[in-house]
Parts: sequence; structure tokens; C-alpha cells
Amino acid sequence: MVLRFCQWLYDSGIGTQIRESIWVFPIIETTHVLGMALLVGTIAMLDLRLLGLLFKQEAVSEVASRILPLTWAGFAVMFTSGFLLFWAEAAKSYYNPAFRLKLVLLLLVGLNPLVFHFTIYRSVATWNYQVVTPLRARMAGVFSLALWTGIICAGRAIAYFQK
Amino acid sequence: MSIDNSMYNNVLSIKIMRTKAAFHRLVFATFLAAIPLIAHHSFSAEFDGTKPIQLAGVVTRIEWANPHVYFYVDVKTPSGKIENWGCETAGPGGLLRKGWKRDSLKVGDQVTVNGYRAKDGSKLADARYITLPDGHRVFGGTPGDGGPGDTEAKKPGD
Amino acid sequence: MVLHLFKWLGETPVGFFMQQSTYAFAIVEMFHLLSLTILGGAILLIDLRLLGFGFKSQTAGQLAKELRRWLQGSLVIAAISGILLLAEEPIKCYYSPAFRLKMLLLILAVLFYFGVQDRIFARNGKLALERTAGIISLALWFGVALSGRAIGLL
Repeated sequence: MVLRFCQWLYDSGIGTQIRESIWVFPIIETTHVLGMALLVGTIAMLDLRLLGLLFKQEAVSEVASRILPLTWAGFAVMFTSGFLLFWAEAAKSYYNPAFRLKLVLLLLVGLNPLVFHFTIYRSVATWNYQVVTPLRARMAGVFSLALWTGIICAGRAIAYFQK
Repeated sequence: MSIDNSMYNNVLSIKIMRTKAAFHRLVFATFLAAIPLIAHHSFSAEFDGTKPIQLAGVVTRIEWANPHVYFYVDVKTPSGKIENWGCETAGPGGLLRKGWKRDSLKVGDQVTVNGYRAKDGSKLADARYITLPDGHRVFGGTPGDGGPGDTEAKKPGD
Repeated sequence: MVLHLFKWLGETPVGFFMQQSTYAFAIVEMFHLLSLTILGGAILLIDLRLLGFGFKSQTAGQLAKELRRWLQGSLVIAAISGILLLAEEPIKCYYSPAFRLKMLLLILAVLFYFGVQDRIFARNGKLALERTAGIISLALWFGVALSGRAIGLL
């Protein structure tokens, strides 16, 4: 059962040490908060291009190729720090509605680019330089921005529900 | 041609921004709707600055953890009943910087806590001042939480 | 005196509202975080370009011009939300070493962005100058973020 796994993580040496640490937890948490700019701040710029609000003179694929390496670096930072934070708090996070919502939204924000890539992006050569991109591309951008907004808010709210 | 384009873009930009804003509001609203009346964290969200409380009793449990250290105290009410109260303080790092070591408080110790009650009426208090068994008085609030004790925070050694 | 200004802020209707409201601090803080995310993204793109990474098809100056509205817009929202957050606990912030450091670094970062970087953008191609500017800017803003986070910890 998931709860047992969370309890096991929580009770483990690593989980306990992080949770009871003086500096380690604050450092991991700070990294997680600061990493938001690298992960979300950059992908937001790509989303804004899809919405025709930024980098209008650049091809979508060009903007993507410049931004995505940064975004992936951000993802590495956020996933690692996030997983460590979860490890330390697992048993408590299991019951946390804000945490659960955040995970669901993270899943969706991960599916969004997959769908985008295998559908509308396949024809990108035809609309690469358009300021007003096809509706589906714009929708992908809107979903991304909305989901990341929700993720950040849910993430902040975790503290409000932690028992 | 370019004028048409930019006018169209402006109208579309506004439409898209409005749609985006609506979307964000929707996400926000859905999320807010899930918050029960208790909103934790940030002093004013959870605790009532107009409801000070003093708890004196025996420590039954200590959770020495980030982001907050909690300890629980058995308090005898005037009617003789024993109530168990939870006290929230800063995290391990914050407490250590105030001179509160991990073993400063142990289960079974006598402790006096001055704090403020939780807004939801539950047996939870934000512990502002804790008098430890050795007589040492510690400020237990989390820095920047907006709770009372601000004016005291400026004193050196606090 | 600054202390009087902070005290005054805490006693305004807005201050009282922030102090007493159950949800206001949380909601305002989320706006603060969201605007900081956009601000951080814009700064990262510009400063990394100054260091030679990223949009090779544009100069750092062109990039800065492109991102200007978003950078300044998010900065304004961050500032307004920041003042509201401050109004909830002004005296505590006044005496907080983390808050003081953040304000100092913030002033320096903003001055650097508006004062120095603009000049550097104007002289495209001076590599050493661009690299130095990028490092200084990143360091300042990183410091702002770090000390901002530390307000709740120290």
C-alpha cells in the first residue's frame, strides 16, 4: 500500500535525518523554491511564444530549442529537491490534500507537452513563424501556464495542510 | 497589411490574456474551494493574536522536525480534567539559534508556555514564550510569521 | 525615519487588513511567488545570454528589450505584493537581518538593471563587459531570492 511505502520513507534514516536537520532541510527547501524560476520561469516564456505574446519574430522551434535546455535543468533541480522533501515528510504528505493536488497537476503538466508534441507540433513547419499559432498550440500554452500556476499555489499550500 | 495584423494581434492578445486570466482564476478558485476554514501557517492565518493563553504542564510528546517543532503538554484544567495541548514553534534550526537544544525539553519535563490559541478553537497554540525546566525562557515563534512578540524580537540575544 | 514609516504601514487600513485576514497573507504571497517566477525567468534568459548562453540569434540587448515589459511588469507585481506582505509584519521585518539584506540587494539589483545594464546593452559585443554584467546581475538577484527565503527561517 502506498501509505506503507510513505511510512517506510518517513521512518528511514535518510528521511528522518533530513526532517530533523538544522540546515539540510532548509537548504533543500530553498533550492526547491529558487528552482521555480529555472523550471517554470523559462517554460512560461515558451508558453508566451505559443500565445504570440513574446519573441514574436522568432520561430517557435527556435525559441523552444533555446529555452528547453534550461527548463530541463530546472526539472532536474526541482525533481531532486522535491523528492528529498517528500522523502522527509512522506507519511504526513500522504494525507495532505494540497500535496495530492500538486501531484495530479504535475502529472497533467507533464502530459500536456506530450500531447502537444504528438499532435499539433508535428505540423510545426507550417506555422513555425506565425505570431498567432494554431488553436491547439495556444491551448497547450494556456494549459501549461494555468497548470504551473496551480502547481506553485498548491505547493505553497502544502504547509497550510501539513499535520 | 501590417497594421491589420497588429490590430488583430492586439485584439487576440487581449482575448487570450483574458482567457488566460480566467483560466488562472479557475485553477485558483478550484484550489481555494478545497481549503477548509483552517488555513495553517502565517501567524494570522492560524492563530488568534487576541486570544493569549498560558499552558503549564508536563510534556507528553515532542516532534523535533522541519518545518516546525511541535511539543504536546498535559495541562490540568481548573475542573481537574487533564487536557493535551499541542504547541507549535520554529523549526530545529530556528530553535537552536535561540539557545534551545534538542534535549532542552524532554518528555516528562515541566514546562510553561505563553502563546496564542488557534483560530479554529482546537487545542493548539502558537508557542511564543516557553519557560524550559532549567528556567531558561525562549522565544519560540517562527521568524517572519507575523505573530506578536515582534517588538521583543529586536532585543539582542532574543 | 524608516522605522516610523514601517510602523505607519502597519497601522494603515491595509496593514490591519493584512494582519487580521485569515487568507490575505497566503493569497498575496502566492502572487508574490508567481510574479517572482516570471521575473526570475526573464532575468535568467537575459543574464545567461550575457554570459554567452541561449538566444544566439539575438543580442543580450535585443533580448532585454523583448523581455522588458514582462520583467518590469512582474517586478511591479512583486513589489506591490511585497509591500502588502510587509504590512502584515512591518516591525518584525524592520529588525530582520534577512529582510534588510534582501532590501539592500534588491535596490542594488534594480539600480544595476536600470542604470548599468542598459549601458552595456547599448555597446553590443564587449564580451568581458557583458560577462561581468551577467555575473553581477545573477549574483545580486540570486542574493535577493536567497535572503527573501531566509526571512522565514532566520
